[in-house]
Amino acid sequence: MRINRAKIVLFFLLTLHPFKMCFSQDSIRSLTDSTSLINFLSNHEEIPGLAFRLVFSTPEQLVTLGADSIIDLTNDGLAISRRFDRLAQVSSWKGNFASHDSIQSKLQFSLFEQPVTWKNVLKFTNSGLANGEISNSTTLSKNSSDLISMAHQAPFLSTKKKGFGYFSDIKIFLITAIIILFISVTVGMIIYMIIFKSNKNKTERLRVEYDEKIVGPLSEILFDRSRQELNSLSSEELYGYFSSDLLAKPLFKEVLIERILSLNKTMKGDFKLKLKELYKRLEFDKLSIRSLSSFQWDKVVSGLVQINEMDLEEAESDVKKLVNSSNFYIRSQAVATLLNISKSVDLSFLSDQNFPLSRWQQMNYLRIIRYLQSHKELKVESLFSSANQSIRLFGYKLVRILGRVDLVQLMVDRFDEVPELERIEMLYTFEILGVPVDSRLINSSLLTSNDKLIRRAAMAAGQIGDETTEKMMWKILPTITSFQLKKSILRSLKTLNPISYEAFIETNTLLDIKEINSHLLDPLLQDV
Amino acid sequence: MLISSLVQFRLKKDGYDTFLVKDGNAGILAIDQEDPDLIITDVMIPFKNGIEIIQYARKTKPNVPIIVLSSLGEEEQIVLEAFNLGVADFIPKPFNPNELAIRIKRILQ
Repeated sequence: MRINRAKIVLFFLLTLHPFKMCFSQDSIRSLTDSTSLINFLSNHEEIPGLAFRLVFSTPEQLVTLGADSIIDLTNDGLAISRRFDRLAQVSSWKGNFASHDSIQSKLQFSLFEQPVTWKNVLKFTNSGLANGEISNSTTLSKNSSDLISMAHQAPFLSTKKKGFGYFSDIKIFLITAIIILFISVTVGMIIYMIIFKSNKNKTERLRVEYDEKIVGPLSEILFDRSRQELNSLSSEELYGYFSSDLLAKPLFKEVLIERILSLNKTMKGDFKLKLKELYKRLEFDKLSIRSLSSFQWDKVVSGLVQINEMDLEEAESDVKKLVNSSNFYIRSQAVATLLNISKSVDLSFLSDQNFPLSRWQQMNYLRIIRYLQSHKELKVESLFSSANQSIRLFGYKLVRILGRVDLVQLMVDRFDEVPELERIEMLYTFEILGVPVDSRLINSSLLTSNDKLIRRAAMAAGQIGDETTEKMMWKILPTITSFQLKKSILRSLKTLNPISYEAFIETNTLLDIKEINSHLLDPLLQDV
Repeated sequence: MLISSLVQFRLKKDGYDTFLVKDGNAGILAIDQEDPDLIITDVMIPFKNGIEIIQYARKTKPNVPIIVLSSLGEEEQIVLEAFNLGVADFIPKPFNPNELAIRIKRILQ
């Protein structure tokens, strides 16, 4: 039902407008009653399908008048005249009997030879007028005065609708709107691309131009001036190399900073120090520190890189504020910068980090810390007390990689208090460093339900285990189902006590034990 | 380009006649046209890498010494290959331009 209604509404919407246009374009004369109908038909030419007759109730009198030749008699005693195509003919014919008052007649309409009422004829005529099948013109004499009076009667109706006739059709309007929108967007994009490309080209051109302007003065400063001379240069002399007009341009400053940083990476010795001195003399250090408070993270990272490369120690407090930034890149670069510029690297800023360290961050920090450990005192132990587990894990890794045997006892003291994940990392560190530790740590780990911890303990047992560890491993070996764990235990047992191991292999008939033994004896596979 | 321009500036100060090119193709053309006494090249350069430049120079100018200026850590294999081709010296980045000038002087003597 709802669908049908929708169809009707849709049909209405689609057809309403064209109908409106048809009606509006023709000035139609609509007949409303019998009088107007008779007036219209009296003055009209023949209308195809429509005919008229007169019906008489007294046929005898008509016969006496000699009108019988044009009259038919019906079964019910009535007389009916011949068929007339025009109403005017009826009136004219009726005039023959005008002097005989006793003759009563009635007008009969017929449509396609079927008698109908005047109402049917009214509908037929209006319909014909509406669709143009019946002409609106009449047989009135068309002299000039008649035409003028007709013109007065018919109000003027324009054949075209004025104003926004074109847009009154919703479909046309929508199509036009879409085309205009598409063209506007296309033109807009083209203009944007042209402007963007033009700006980009202009920037590139300016960069090349500034590069050329930078090379000369920078070469002279680096090769002709000593550090002391550079330090004692007056502002006028300095602006003699780089004019204040150029230094007022942000792009020039950006290019100059990039070039100084690039040279700083490529050069060493006195040249590096000169570049840092020049950076400060041009007050770029202030720009770098100011960029740390930018709302754009890429500008903040650029500022951190500049501070890092130029060793701007005075920015340490500003950089520390960014260590716990929610942005990964900012906090990564902030930590890397602090590691470089801090005079005393106690790593406390790292232990205060709330966010977990990613593998990439660990690798990045490790690279810097390895470089720093030769000339700066590192307090790796401060990481052990961090509330962040990933930081504590990183601390244990640092002990292992940096070979900080002096921190092993601190780790041993913490072993019972830390989660199993950290115990795994600690055991791995003990194993790699090969430092003898209390065998209780390994033995207790072998008795846990954590497969990874048991396996790590079994692997460490080969390096730092003792007799109690060996006994415990012999005890748990028959209960082990995991092939990998069996292999780790057998490898450690082979290292701890080769004689017992050989005896065990000779007496054991289990297939997987034989396979593990073959694997451990294979010179190519034994370390896999 | 900035580094090569700085090196050029330093060598001009020492009285050398220098010719600077921007990429590998221009370098090969310069070897033919400029008839150099010494070639200084990086390993990573546009269009043709430093090894191709060295190979070409060894074929056409076998007696011209070549100095490779590059970073050892990044392209270790390439640097080793350059040494195998018989380069006169290798200067790793970061470098001191004064040190480069001294090495050039020693090689040309």
